[in-house]
Amino acid sequence: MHKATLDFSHSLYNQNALNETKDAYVDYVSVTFEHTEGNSHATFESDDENATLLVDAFCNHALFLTIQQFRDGDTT
Amino acid sequence: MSSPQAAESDSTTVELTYNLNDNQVSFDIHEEVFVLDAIYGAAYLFVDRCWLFLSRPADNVVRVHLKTKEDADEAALDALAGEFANELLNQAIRVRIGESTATLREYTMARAFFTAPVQSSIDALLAELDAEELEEDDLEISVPWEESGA
Repeated sequence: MHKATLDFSHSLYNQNALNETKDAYVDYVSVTFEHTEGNSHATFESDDENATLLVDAFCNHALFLTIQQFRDGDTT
Repeated sequence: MSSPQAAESDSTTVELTYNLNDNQVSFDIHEEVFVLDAIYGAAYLFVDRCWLFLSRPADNVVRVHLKTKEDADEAALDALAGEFANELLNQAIRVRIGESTATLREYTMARAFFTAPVQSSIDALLAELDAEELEEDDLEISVPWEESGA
C-alpha cells in the first residue's frame, strides 16, 4: 500500500474542484480530506504500482478545475 | 511517494530548488509581483506538459512545483522553469492589458447591444437613393439608349 499526503491551500485550490477531482479518481486512488482553516490535508492511499503518477495526475486535475472555476467566477 | 518540497527564497531573487530524483523543480512567486490570475494563466498552459502543484509557504507567496513527465536533468528542469517564468510574464501583461482596456471593451459591447442596428442605416441609404432616382424620373422607366451608353 502506497501512502502520501499533500496540503492543498484553499487560497490556491477551489474546494469544489478538489471534491470533483476526488470523485473522478475514486476508482484509482483513495483520497481522504481533513479540512482545516485554510487547508485541505489530503491523504492518498493506493495499491497501484503507479501511485505516485496518480497523485501527480490528481494534482493536475484539481488545478485545472480550480482555474476553470476561477475564470467562471467561483471562488469558493 | 514524496510530497513537493522546496527551500525558502526572498523577494529579490528567484531561487530554483531541484529534486532530480523526482524530476522536479520548485520556485517561489510573490503575488505583489505576479497576481494569482497570471500564475493560473501560466499554470493552465503547462498542465498538459508537466505535473504541477501549487503551495503557499507564506502569505502572498505561491510556491510552484513543476515535475516533468519524463526523466530530466538539471538543465532540462532549468529550461522548464525558465519557460514557465516567460509565460508568467506574458500572462501578467495579458492581465494588465485586460484591466486597462476593460472600460473600452464594456463601452464597445454596450454600443453593439444598445444602439440601432446597422441594417437600419443601410435601409436609410437605399431609401435615400430611391428618393433621388425618383426625383430624376417620376416613372422610373428605363430607356434603351441609357442602357447601351452605360
